[in-house]
Amino acid sequence: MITATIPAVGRIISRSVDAPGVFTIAIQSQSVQSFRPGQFNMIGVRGIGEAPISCSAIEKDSIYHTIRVVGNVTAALASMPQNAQVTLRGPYGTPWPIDDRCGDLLFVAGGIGIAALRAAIDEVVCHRGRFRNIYVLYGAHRPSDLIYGHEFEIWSEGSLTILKTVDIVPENDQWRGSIGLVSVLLDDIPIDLKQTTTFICGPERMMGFVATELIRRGQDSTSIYISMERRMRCGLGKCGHCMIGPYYVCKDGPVFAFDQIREWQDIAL
Amino acid sequence: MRIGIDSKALDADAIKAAFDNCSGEEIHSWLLTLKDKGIRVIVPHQADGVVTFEPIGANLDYLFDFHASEVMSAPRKFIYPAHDNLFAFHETDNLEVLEIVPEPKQTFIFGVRACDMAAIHLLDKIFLSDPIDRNYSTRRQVTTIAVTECRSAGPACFCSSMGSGPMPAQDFLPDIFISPVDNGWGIKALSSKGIVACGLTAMESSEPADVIGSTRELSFSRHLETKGLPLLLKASGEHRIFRDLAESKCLGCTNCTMVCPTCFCFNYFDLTGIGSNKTLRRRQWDSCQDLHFTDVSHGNFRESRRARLRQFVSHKFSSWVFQYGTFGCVGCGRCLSWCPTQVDIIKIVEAIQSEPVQP
Repeated sequence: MITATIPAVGRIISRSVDAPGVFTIAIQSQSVQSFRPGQFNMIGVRGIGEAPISCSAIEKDSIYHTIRVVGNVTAALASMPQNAQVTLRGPYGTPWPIDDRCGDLLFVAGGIGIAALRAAIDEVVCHRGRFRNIYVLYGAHRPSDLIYGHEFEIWSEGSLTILKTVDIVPENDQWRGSIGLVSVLLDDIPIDLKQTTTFICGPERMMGFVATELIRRGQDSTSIYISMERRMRCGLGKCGHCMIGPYYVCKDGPVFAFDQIREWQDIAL
Repeated sequence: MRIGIDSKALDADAIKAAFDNCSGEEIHSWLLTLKDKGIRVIVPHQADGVVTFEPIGANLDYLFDFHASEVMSAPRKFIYPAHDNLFAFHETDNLEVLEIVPEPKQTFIFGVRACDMAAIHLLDKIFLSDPIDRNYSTRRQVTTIAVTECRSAGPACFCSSMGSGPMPAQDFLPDIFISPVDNGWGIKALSSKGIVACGLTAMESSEPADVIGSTRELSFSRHLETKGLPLLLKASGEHRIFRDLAESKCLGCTNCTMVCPTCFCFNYFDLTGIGSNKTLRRRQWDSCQDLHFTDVSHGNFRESRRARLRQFVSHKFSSWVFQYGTFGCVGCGRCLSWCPTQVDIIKIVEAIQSEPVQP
């Protein structure tokens, strides 16, 4: 663990733009440590603050984070120059419970939620033989918001069934794929929900309606997992900002069983 | 008006050293001896009609008698201050992170009430659990706390309902316990820190009494039935009381959380100096009652006063139990004393108990 409250320092050594308002950076640091898919780091910009960002991948001593610009910290990270220094604390939080799973897996991603699922999909592709059918359903607002084109190519070679959808198609866009909510893609896959473990990440309302739809279609609610997000400061379950009922999203989450979290107040599931 | 039940008498085993029948003057000269030895002596102090805990002043004035609910500035601030420096950044070619290690003076807090002592033990559950908060732990270690037995219950007090008073609860013992006895005061050291502080006194030690209990019964005018509360509150999120009070009374002013001795929420912020290559990471108290506490980029998960008021009550009497195995309220009554519109946490709970939400 990168030390609990005192952050480690890293440098942004590469960046790429994935979509309007979405970018991926590689942060190189001596303190980079391996993470479990689903975990996050608190990435900090001196003088501005820190934000919790899902861990995407590690390559040698660099960690990759895919980030959407939504506030002060993420806007700063978007425009910092090559070799700019940032701080890192983590990895924090609970991982997607892949280790004890086999059978069929369903990943459902909404918007930037694909970033929190990417490392999990990478991992199951690495251990493909352990699982039977693997489905990835991915929805974004517009075709230009769909990211990870390169990763999806690799995944489709791993015999995953992948379906994408968008909300709207701008004029002159060449999109010929599905249009509509990500949950309607369920009609297009021969999935046996009773044998399936589902991992969902996206806007809170979206995770709620996808989980509800899955249960309506016969999935056991105990095999649905989601990744929650809240305002965070300490990242270690002390400052109180991310509390939902008795749970700290940073420490008891961000990955929760749907059943576990849905009965508490102040959620949009 | 109900007669309160005394909390259980202290175990005789808890007493490590005893000094009985000390006079007020002897206690006074003991505090001055501690001060002369360079120890920071904190005492209950009356100023502008409120009680606060402050370092003993030049006039050596302090209070013996007051009610916990009159305390605006609880002793927790000496272990968990409202503002604290965590570390500093210094950026040139490299970004350095420089730890700021607090070096607090040995501190002796006199005149604390059992409820405040219980509250500090409750804060330990947050800050001394893994990962241990170094600033809190450092200050906690150098602080010796002496609880004085309450001689009466204040109009807002309900520690007896929460098991945190009027006698110090067995799990929430102070370092020293001071109680009125026939001919003055009895002082009992309950920990090694207590023994050290008592060792600096000129008082004569005595054999510890077999049992320490209060022979007086305190009358409490406020009482809370806590049985079944955690699950009841979990099921009562939609109760009308939260909306009613949010619309008619609660201002979202955060007073309740500022005076509550068990509140622990905090915020980080970075303070950059004019030279702009030095930044301080500071921590300060925050409040779940603040409008922006649960802000996210395109919304706020607890925007309404109704939701925030519900959070305050539900955290103290429900979530705390799931998180830490105990209620997060010590019955000090300050949230009522300091609410500008007299929102009463007991009345909220009683409304829920008397009209349960239909499933």
